[in-house]
Amino acid sequence: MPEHLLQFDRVTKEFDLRKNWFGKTSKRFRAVNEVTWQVEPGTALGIVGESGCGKSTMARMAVGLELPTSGEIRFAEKTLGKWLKEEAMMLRRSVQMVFQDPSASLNPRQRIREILELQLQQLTDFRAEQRMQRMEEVLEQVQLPLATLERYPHEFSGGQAQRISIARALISKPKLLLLDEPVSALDVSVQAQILLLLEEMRKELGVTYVFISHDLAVVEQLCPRVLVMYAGSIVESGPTNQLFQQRRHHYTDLLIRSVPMPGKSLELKREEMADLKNPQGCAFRNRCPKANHQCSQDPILKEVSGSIGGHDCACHDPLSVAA
Amino acid sequence: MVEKTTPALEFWQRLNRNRLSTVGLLMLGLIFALCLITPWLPLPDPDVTDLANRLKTPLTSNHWLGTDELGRDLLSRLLWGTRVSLVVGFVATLAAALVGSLIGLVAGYFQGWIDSGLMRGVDTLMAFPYMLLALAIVAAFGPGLLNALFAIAIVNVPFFARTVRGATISLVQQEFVLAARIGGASHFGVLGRELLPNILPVIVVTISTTAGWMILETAGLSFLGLGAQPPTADLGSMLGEGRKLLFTAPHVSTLPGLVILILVISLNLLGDGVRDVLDPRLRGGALRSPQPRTEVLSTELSSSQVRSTGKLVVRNLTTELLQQGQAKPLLRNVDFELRPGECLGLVGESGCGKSVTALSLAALAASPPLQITSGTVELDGEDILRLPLRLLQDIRGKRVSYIFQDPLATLNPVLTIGEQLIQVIRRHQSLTSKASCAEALSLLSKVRIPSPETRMKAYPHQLSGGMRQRVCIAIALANRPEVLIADEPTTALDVTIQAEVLSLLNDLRQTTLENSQTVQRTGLSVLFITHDLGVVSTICEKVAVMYAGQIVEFGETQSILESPEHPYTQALLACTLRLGANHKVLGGIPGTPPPPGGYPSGCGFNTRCNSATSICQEPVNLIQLPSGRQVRCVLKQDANA
Amino acid sequence: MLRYTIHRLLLTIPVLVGISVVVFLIMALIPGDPATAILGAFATPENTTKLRAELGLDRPLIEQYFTWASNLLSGNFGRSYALNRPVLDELLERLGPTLLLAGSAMCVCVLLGLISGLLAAVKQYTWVDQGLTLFTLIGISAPAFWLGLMAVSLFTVQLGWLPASGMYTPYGDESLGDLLVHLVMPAITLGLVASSVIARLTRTSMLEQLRQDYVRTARAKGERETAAVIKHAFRNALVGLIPVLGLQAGFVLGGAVYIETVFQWPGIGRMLVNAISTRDILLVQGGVMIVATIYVLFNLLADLIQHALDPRIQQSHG
Repeated sequence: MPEHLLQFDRVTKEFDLRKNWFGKTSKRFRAVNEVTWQVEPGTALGIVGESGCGKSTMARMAVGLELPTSGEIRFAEKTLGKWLKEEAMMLRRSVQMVFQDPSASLNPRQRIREILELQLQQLTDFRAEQRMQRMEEVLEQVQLPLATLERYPHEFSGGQAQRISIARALISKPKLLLLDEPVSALDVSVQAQILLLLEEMRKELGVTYVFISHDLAVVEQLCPRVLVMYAGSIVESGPTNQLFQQRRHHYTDLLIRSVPMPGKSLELKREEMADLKNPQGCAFRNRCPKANHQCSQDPILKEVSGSIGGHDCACHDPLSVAA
Repeated sequence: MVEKTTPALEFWQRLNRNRLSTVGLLMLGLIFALCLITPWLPLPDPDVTDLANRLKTPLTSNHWLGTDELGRDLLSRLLWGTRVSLVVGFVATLAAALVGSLIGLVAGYFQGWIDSGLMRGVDTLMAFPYMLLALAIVAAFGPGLLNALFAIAIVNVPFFARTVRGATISLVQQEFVLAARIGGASHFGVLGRELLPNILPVIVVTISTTAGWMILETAGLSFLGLGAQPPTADLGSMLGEGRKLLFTAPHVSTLPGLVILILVISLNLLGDGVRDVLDPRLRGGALRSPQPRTEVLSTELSSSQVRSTGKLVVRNLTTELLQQGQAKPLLRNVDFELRPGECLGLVGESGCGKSVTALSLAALAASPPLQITSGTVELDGEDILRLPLRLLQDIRGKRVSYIFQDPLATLNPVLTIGEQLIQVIRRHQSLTSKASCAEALSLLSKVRIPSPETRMKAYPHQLSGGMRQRVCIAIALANRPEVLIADEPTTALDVTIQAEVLSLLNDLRQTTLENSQTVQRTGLSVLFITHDLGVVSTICEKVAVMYAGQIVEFGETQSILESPEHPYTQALLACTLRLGANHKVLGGIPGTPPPPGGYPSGCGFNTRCNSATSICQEPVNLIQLPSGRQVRCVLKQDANA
Repeated sequence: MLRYTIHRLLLTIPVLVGISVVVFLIMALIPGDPATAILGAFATPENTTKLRAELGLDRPLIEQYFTWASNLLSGNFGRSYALNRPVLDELLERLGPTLLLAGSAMCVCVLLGLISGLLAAVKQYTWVDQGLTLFTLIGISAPAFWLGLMAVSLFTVQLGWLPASGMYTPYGDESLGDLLVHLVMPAITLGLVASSVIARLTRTSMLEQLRQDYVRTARAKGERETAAVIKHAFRNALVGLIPVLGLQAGFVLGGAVYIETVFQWPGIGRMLVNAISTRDILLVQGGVMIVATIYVLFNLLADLIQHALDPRIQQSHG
């Protein structure tokens, strides 16, 4: 059994929505609900789901921007949580992140040289010439000219800025890269360039990816394994091809059937929507065509019968395998 | 890439463009210069009294501006007084800015208890009318210039603290700050390198807008006799002394007041300029608010060479962006027609001009800075671009209606859903309020909004994105329009919600088609703008592909998706991901789409096209292929000829 | 709404406590012996000892504060030695004129500010806009007291239309007409200066709103331009302007100090200036407390109005 690089163990994150007079929380929102998953070194794991399903919150917890309310996150079998203390430097160097909005993720008042060099100064003990050498190296990897260093972020298009963000994330030679919707803000023609670049980098450098996206087709391009999230919980996970072709959860099914594709028109049918407000049970049941009385109990994520390579699903009444 | 400038240089260039602020800067410079050289000017001592020459009027010999009640030279006193006022005003401003910004920065960055602790204090100070607090402080410490300075500075600290805190809070969640934290930056590093440089403009703007106030406030305290004490005089105390002589020698009080006025006006002019340059909301030059309709330049009449059967016929439509005296084309001779009952998809990447096309059709493109320089938009053969505004308004929302991308921004946040629906119904139909209310309810149920009665009273922010877009659809369909223009209506929505909205639109179109056969009316024609080829193939019969402000290919959806003719359409389809297709996409199209208005001459795609040759630098027309397809590509012309 | 009103009313309590702490601390910070400072010229040894005992100056600061605050609550603001009467009596006498002046100035400020700001925005870059911009620029740049003096020299000295000072003609009949004639100049001067800020903000805010998508939607719905501007843009602009109007009440109350001084208006502002020059500390304390409380109430009102106008805040407060 391979060592897990990143592991989420029953991780929950709650946000305070409202505080009362005495600073006590009177209303909470559970963004991530007891999720457990892991990623093996050298692979790419996709996390898909719609806005607000908690996928970005997970990424932010993995890099230490948020602390989990409960549960444990382990990197290379070591528990995170005291990130700022010992081993902080090693962890920071090893886990990096790329954000969605390429223009917002670069400080508008710093030249690219400052942005990259700061990252090296903070994460490594390189001397000046080593830093320069590393910057040249990483710019070449993301296929940008050296002159890039002397420019300001606003001088670049979205695609170029995203290459710079990737360069910054990779400059400390991390083991794990969290990509939070890295191509969503880009045009189709540029999106394909970046996806190809990411694919090449992974093969070349052996970095592990956790790739978060709302776009199933993008995840399918890069990730051999995928998790599907809905309302803070994992509803289905497994090898990408198997999961997309033999999906068992009704939400995954709806998600896949909703993706419009050139040359394939959607089977558009009238949707009915129940107005349920009960927090207990399966969160999808008010939109689920097969919802029944069992669904008011929390479903458990368990391996589907006859699956190969760990295909899990959290549903009381899953879809049968399509013939 | 944009020409190379440093932020500082750009700042001065922009500031210089604002003529009023240049005037302010010059006036301020002059006052500063005068104050600097005052000690060396051949002027009488400001404090030497000369009772023989008291209350001389201005323009008397030896005393240009006259003398005060003790015979002191007013010009000399004014200059020395201005020196004092300036020093006190600026020191107070800088002190308040320093302390206030520090409090705001720390409170906004650390948040939690540090924030609430600091801000409670700041709020308490803010709970006083600030002049009153200044008075109270001076009352405690006693009158005097230094105490006045101190009081004014304290009173303005909360203002800086609040502004800077607000700016900091909006920055700390920005992705570049998060990236710096992940990159191992210390608190000090984040504050100093990431936050402070980006907040500095806010601080500068606040300084430039408050410096004038501070000078007024200092003058005020001195006027009341609580600031500068004799024999030291600042402008305020001179005014205070002159007040008693208002009836006998008005110039003694008029002059210091005038100097304060000029000083503060020049500060405010400069401040306005600085704010305009540094405030990101005012950037981009588009300072003028959009007019009720797009400006249409040419007066060309209906081309009418061919009477078309189209419901909406667009001919030769050219829209330009007017920026700093330069006109950059955003649309270049756009031609297409929308048949009755048809759904036409307009697809392209960002900046290709598809939204500008949509908005130009009912003259809704923001003008300034946009203007329609040529072309016609004919609705049933009548050019609507050149109709008088009132007639155009009668068409908008009734015969031609719109759905926009972001349903939260496009609905009025302070009106209920019901109010907004009833508004559009009553605008175009003479119904009683009761009947229009019933009509609104039935519309809401038509767009499948659950429990419409309660939703009528809801405000836009209380609905989900999908529900809001349904409301927008209901508004668009309220007066049974002939043409519906949908500008990326599903882009902001999640994919499952998008499918629901698309299905709704499709059903509504089908119903209007069915109804039209019975009532002898033509069905609803839809122009559907999107960047997603998948969406197009779901609901559009025909598609027009746009690139760099031109339509590059036009034809049946099915056939274009199966056998694209234009190199751009081919490349776009090749890099469009298809779920479950089991194929890897190879690299996309090299380069990036040209920015709006920065289109290459000739074929817009010539900079990224693999098969481009030198002929592609020449303009090229839409070519009709035998298959009925239209393509704008020279290569096809050769094949065709 | 009722729930919010109660909630908001309760929230003013800590604010008032905060204000009283600041006012108390300012007195406690007075250099030297407060009792001597308070008594000023009346500081005989026996007076000083008596006041010391009264204020409890020998006890800890916290205890002093509570004594002082509970005295305030029971209406005991202390005694003005300079005027030789209870502070509260003096304050109550002066409160009416100040409220009258500030209230009328606020009316001028709101009406003039909103209308001219709206007009300038709609007629952007025409002579109307430029004229109003110049006018408001002078309004925010000129010292209010100087404008007051200039008004006196024009309307009293030159034209002889309006009385220069006071609230009533001395030994007159104290009629309403007489009051109004005296009120016009101070109220308009103060209101005019305050309205300049409002006008400029209204203009900026309107220009911002006119660029918003929902205004485009209104136009796409075929709304007439007046409706798009007033019903849609102005309504939204107003929501953001209400709190500024609340803050502007602070400006008016502070500005009243100058205006009352210039026009010899018998209000709290003028009393404060006199009290400061005679070092009548208890009177200053009382005056500041009262005016700050009025200001807090003004802001409370603005908050409630904004709450009623803006559905978005309603939700966040539940």
